[in-house]
Amino acid sequence: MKSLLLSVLLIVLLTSCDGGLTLPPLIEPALEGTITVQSPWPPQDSVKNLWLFASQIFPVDSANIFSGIFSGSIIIYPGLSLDSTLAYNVNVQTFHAKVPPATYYYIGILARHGDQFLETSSYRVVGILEEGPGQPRTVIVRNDEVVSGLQITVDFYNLPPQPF
Amino acid sequence: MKRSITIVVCQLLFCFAANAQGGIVQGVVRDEESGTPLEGANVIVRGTLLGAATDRNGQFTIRGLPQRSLTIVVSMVGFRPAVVENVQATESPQPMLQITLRPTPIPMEQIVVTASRREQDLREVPASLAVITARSISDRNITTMDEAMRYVPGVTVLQDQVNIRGSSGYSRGVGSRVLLLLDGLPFLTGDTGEINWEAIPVRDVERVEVIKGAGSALYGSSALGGVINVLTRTVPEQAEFRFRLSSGLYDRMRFDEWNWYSKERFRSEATLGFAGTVGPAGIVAGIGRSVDESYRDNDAYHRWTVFAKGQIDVSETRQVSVVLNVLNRTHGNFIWWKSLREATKPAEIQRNGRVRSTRGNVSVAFRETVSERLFYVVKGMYFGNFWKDDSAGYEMNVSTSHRIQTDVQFTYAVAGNNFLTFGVAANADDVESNLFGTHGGYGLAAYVQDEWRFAEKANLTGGARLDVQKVSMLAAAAKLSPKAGVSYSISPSTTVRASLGAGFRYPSIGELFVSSSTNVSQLVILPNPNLKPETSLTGEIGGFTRISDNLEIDVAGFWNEFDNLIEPSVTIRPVRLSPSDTADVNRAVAEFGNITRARIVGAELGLRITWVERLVATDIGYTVLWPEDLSQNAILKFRSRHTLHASTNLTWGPYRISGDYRFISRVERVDDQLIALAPIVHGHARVPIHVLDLRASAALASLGLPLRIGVNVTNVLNYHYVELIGNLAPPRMYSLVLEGSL
Repeated sequence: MKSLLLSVLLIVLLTSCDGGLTLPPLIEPALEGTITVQSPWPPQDSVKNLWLFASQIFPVDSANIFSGIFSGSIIIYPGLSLDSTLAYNVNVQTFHAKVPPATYYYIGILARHGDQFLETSSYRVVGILEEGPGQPRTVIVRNDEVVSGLQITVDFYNLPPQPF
Repeated sequence: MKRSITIVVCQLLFCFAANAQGGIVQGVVRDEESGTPLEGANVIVRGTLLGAATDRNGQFTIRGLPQRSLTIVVSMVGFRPAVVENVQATESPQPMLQITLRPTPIPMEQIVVTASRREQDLREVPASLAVITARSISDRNITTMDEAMRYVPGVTVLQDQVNIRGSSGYSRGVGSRVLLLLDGLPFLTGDTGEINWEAIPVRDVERVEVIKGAGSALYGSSALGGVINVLTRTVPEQAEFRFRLSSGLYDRMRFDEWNWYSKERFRSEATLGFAGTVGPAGIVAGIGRSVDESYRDNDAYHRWTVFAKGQIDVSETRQVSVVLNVLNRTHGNFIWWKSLREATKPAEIQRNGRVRSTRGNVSVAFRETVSERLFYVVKGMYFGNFWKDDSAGYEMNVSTSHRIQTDVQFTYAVAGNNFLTFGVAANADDVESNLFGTHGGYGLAAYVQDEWRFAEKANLTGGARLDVQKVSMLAAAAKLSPKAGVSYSISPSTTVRASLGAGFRYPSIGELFVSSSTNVSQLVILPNPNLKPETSLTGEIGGFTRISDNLEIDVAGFWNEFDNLIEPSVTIRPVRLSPSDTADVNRAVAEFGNITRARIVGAELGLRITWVERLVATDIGYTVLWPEDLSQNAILKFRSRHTLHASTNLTWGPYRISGDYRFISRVERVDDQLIALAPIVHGHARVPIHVLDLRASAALASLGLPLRIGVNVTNVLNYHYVELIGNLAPPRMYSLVLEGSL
């Protein structure tokens, strides 16, 4: 009886004990998904830039958008420059935007149509990641995690509610 | 009924009026093998409320006894209890009774006080009860009492929340479904209603009793899943000076990514104490300093503790004791890891947080043995808690709470086989905090319990407690908690038991009124003053048998029904963070609510085995649970189905070699909302728990030194696991302990 108990204990100990938790693979946090344009594209000279944005601030307005961008609370993809833009006239394109781990309350596509790039009137939100019609969906991005499968639909002629 | 009550009251009055004179019994208790007098053996007169402890010469005297044939029961840790029958108490001192106790390596502790608020044989208790001895606390180099709980079968600890047979999950630092008592009085903080383990004077504990199952019928709120009663040491007969030094070194972890420090990390402790008596007065006091550099970043603590207990024998039948216990601590605020890749670093927002706290209690107890049939105890305690943290990095959270508690208890032996325990209790709370607001509260309670013993075989218990609690401006809430139990001795070596008891917990001021928009978790936490008390009903059937001198078995099957369990729920919704804000903003919002109905069914098996000429003793405890969340038709969060505890001690003269192994199966379900919204990176990472501890010690008395030296290795396998999500448990640690007394 005693030997049996000891044996059972030893077996449990030796067979089921493997060192425990191990390191997970290193992954840079990111947002990943597809942008689908379901309307005709406007003339190229009216879409000077097209960016994906992910904002930790919501609601965004003309008072906080620029401070949010410069402080890193609003991430711009593919990059924060007038030279970078998403592809024009491509109806379905994928994105992989590296972002800091945070909660993003407002994700969408921003189009610049005016020349005054420091004026909010030069910009329009042309599509958002939706929870419901017109309702932004919140996405939490954690360290070592890629949030994938995000679907953003753009309709240049039926815009979502504008922040400014 | 009225007539019975009148008779009992008249008898009580008679007892008060009666002079406590009567017969005397004197004796000496010795070790059967060595003949050495035994100090601290418990001597009780069966069927009465009278008893004594032996002094340094092994001698005891019990006065005020009825002059008839009596049965004396003598017990002591490490010895088999002895029963001496047909002892005649006489008016004048007679020759000393010569009693011997047979040593056993089985850690037997026969006399307990928590189950019925009076000293009684463990085998008469109709519920499962475990005892942690001061010796095991010292041997295992326990520095806070929650560590000791991890060695109790059927008990798990999630960070600092204790979970008896699955009763508790994890409620993020507020509320406890296990009631902690310090010397019989509730010891939960006034603001959050939680257990603060570090406030327990661990080096001045005589023993800890753990009742598994609801215990509100005697102790009131929070005893949903069980009761832990920490009993501080009594003043010894002889003067002593004692010290204890320990230092532990954290080993490196398996992965370099977790070894964030360049210099070795230590956990060290030094305590000094003394005890002395002058005439009828005695004092035991100690001071301690602990520093834990921790294996995790921003998790170190520095701690001072002071404990003093004075005891005065006002007369042979009256005793007053006063306790002062203070803790001052500064602690890093590691709440959860940055990620599993950086598991020893806190999430960025907790990086520089600190918690500073001062906690303490002053307790007074007066006990009078009015006669062999009646004693009463009047107890009072002030428990103050002050803490502040800058965990959020932006705002300092501060909380001050004051709690005053009193309890007046009478225990009356209606007859030699019928014990009536009854009393009243009251408490008052005052909380001032930027997190919880400014609130007061009070509670009143009355309890009664009767025990009948039939034909020396059956022990029947029945009782109830009525509690009324009022918090701040909320309406008062009343709860009635009944209990019933029976134990039956089939033979001298076999006892069966059954019990049914109710438990409840009033929501803490923290749960009712917490409000925070800058919490470390980035959650907005909203108050919910509409919370109702949680309730539970516990049933247990069990049995104990001693198959041989070398094998004892205890089995239990239990069933718990929980209702209105308070848990936080987290959602994303628009809220206005401050009245000055002009618009709602989307935030993760947490709020406590009565949201869960649960059922936990389980079984427990305990074995005590001795071998190798009784030099080696092994205890094994296995618990299996079926914890159901009836509200969601799923397994309850933060519960493990299987726990296995095994410990072995080899005692050979002054040497002792011991080992503990515990297995806790992987927690099947955790709080997904918390992980997602806090957020806790890799919050789902968890594994089954395997922990092996080994230690050896030697008493150096044979060398003429009053010292004991010990070596401990905890988590020998250097197994990496979490008890609570996002919190890597300590790696292997090597400790050296030196203690002595003069």
